[in-house]
Amino acid sequence: MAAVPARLEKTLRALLTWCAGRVSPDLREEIALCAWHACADAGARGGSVAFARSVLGEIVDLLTLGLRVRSAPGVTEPSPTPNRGGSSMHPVDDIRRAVRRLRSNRGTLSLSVAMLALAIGVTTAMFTVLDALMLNPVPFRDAKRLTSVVIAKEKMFMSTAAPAALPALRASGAFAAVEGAAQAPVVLEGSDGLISQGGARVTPGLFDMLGVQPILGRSFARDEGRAGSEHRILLSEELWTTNFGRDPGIIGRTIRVSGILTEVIGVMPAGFRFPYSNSTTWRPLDFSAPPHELERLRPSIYARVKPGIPVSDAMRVADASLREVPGIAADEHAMFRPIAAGMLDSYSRRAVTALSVGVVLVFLVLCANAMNLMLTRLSARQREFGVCSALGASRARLIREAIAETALVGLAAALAGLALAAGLVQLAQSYLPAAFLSRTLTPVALSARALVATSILTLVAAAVAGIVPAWLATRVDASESLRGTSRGGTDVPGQRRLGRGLLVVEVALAAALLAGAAQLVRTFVNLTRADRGLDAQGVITAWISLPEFAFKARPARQAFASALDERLRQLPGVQQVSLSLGVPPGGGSIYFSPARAANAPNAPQPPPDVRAVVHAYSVSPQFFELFRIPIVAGRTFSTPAAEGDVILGEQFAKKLFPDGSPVGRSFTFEGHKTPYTVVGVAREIRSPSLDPLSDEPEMYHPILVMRDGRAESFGGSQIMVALRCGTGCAGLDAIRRVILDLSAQAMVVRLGPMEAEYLQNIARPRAAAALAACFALVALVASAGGLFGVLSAAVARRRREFGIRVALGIAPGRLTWLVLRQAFALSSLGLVFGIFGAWALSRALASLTFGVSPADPLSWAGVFGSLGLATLLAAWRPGRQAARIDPAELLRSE
Amino acid sequence: VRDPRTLLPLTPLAFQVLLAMADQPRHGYDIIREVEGRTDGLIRLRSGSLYTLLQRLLDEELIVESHDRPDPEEDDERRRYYKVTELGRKVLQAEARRLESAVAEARRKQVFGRSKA
Repeated sequence: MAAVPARLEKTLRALLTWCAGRVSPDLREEIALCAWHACADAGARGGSVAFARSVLGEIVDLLTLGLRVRSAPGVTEPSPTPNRGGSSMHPVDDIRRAVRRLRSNRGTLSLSVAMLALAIGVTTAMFTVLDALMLNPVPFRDAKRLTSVVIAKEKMFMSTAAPAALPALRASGAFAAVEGAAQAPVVLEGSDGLISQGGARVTPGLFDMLGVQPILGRSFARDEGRAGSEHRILLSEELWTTNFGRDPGIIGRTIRVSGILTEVIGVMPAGFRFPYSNSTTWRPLDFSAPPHELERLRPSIYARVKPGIPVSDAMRVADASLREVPGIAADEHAMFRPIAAGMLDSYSRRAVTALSVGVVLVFLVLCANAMNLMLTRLSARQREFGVCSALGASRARLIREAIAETALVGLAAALAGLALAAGLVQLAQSYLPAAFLSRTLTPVALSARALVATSILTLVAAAVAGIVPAWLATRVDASESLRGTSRGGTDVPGQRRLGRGLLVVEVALAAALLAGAAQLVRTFVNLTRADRGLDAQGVITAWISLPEFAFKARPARQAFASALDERLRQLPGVQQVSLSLGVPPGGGSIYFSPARAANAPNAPQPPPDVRAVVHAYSVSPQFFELFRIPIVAGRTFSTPAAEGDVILGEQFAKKLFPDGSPVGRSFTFEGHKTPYTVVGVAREIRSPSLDPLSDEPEMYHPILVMRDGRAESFGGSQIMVALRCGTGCAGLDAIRRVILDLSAQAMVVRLGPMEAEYLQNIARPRAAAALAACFALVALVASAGGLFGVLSAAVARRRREFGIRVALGIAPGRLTWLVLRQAFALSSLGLVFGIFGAWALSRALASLTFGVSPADPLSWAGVFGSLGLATLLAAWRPGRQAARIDPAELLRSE
Repeated sequence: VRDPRTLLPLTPLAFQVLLAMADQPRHGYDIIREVEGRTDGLIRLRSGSLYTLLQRLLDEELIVESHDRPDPEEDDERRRYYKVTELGRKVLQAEARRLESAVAEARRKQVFGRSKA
């Protein structure tokens, strides 16, 4: 190896001197010099690899000096007699002995590891979900400076802005980048017909701003997105995998995107989602010079504030820069919103928080359990500790031994817990409802942050489970322990009290968790049973999209609809068919604008505006018959109906016309020209849900209207079909075939039984209930296991006493009863505390429950029942063991 | 005066380091080189470990710092030289004897084979 450059030499020597920081100052420089000569020599003989190895070796040697300084390298061989203070023992020896001991006691070991691993695994997995949804919903570089820029009037919400705002904001100087994106879903050719995918039109610089690069191919060039260069597409890795079999040759190939030949230029990494959680395709668009057919797209604006500029200043500068921009009114202002704002709704936030609290409780239960196990285990070694102490081992030495054991258990538990967490996260990805997982820009996956969390959890868990028991168990009196088993004791009252205290805490937490879970389960059951205001039994619904590139003109869509209607009626078992725009639950278009009823004939003043989000369905009279929605006032639509005729749901009718019958009255929506005339009132349909937004009022438009003397229907590109099926009804496949036979260009977005739709609507409460039930079950089983351990130990401790009692003539059944009584006393005490916990928990859960009170007798019966059963099961074997003690055998063994 | 036998047996490293200084005073890196050369690279000391050991030997008064230094052009004033004390020499001797008798015993039990017997 050539001579080491002087600069490197200086640096390395400084490093070596620093590493020797534990040595006395007058020696430090000398050691560093010696180390340096050794390294330089190694380099001269063996080249740069030997040099590097030598440097590394010296550094490790110097850094670990502190660890080894008391033990190796000694002058003389260690003497075989125990050394008070243990200073001659190496930590490695502690670990080695701990391994030996743990291997000889695999049962307790695996149980402790399992408990802690479960605690660490479940908590890490939950942290991963919590982190993705709430703590770190924006996974991009320097996310604090990223913002979305909303340009709107005070207290109004507009997610998009005039395209001219983009260059104005860029010129303001407050931002490192200003980019735009507009929702632009695409239709692709899948292996099984057309598929619809979420997507966006984005300005070319968007990915640079976020700090995300394609994993294959390239990103958009600066000048792409104008006429002539707008037909480029980036695919998500997921789409590339599912639709193109991860073919690297996809780059440069042209595929048909919404009917247009488009070149694939790159693949974005898995987990990248922007601007929406369902975005899987990105096409370029220069909003300042868009191609003719994209002129109407308005961008949502995203910006990165320049480093060093306070965000509030940037907002002021941005607002000032928009004053002269055409298309932006004087009363519209720039406001910053976090780019993931609005993604997480309040239900998800509350549910995830509540579940996280639940997980923390489970963590505590499991740690308490592991602590109890360690306590039992170390108590059993108390005699050994006593002997060691008599031979001269110090307390610190004994604690070190005990802690080495805990450290190993903790390490094993951390590894197992991490594996468990990976499995659970994968499970969460496939089983947690999309309604949860899509509410963040961060994919739910184990990350470095989760690993840090795991490490902290492990430390906490191992510390809780190990240190206190180690402290207690090593508090031995050497002379006492050498005197033998005269007091029959390998355990002291302090430990016994702690063990029982822990058990009471476990039972209390399990009871609280059980009560919480019972409420969530009852909520789910109530939601499935709640009145929906219609009959969904046997109804199949389909949502068909007619892509504009294939169905350009209205007559084509009308022809498709009527042919579909006819063909579906001919399917076997189909009793009724209804074509509409929107089907319950939740389908249909939405009115946000305030509604105003026309003046009643002799009302003194105009009625107030009704502000509500109204779901509007365009339907035929068959719709009401099929869904069994009765018309409670007025009449149904005539076919064709007069333009402007509407039927209102009861809720909206009551809001609009609180003073009397709405039939024959008219109203308008702000900003809409034509007034609507109410011809009837339909029974309210309800969407049983915890989310108040999804139980909004509804109104119905006729799907077939007389316009300019002609009957007209189906203006839009979406058709919803509902079929009521009798026995022997055609399957979903047959229905799909009918649709695709009519036109291969038609796209079946959704097809399935209506019940499944309702279930999907309550997927989140279901998931929350299922998770909470799992947590409660884990806590219950763990505390039952803890109870079993404590009772078994108690029976073993009292063998002599029980033996004497049997010899004196007590019936064995009475001994079983004694143990059972102890068990129930402990769990009752736990239950009392648990009730307080449950009361606190139920207040936190109030917003997540539906039709169930915290004092719900059925839930509490479940809690008492399952705790009682668990106690009985846990106490049964120790009880039987107590009854089986044979005094003769006891005498022989002593 | 301490009885050298109370310090037996020496650890292999302590023995090798004392042995390195038996013929002349040496500085730290010199000891490393000497031991490594003599044991065909089998024992390779790291600086930190060496100085910890030297400190121990100093504490036990088996070695002392030597003030005989080589010519200034070969010297580096940051270096320290160590030499074996009288006690050190006796301990070294006793240890060597102990090892020798162990080797003799091994020979008697024909650990090296019959050829030399």
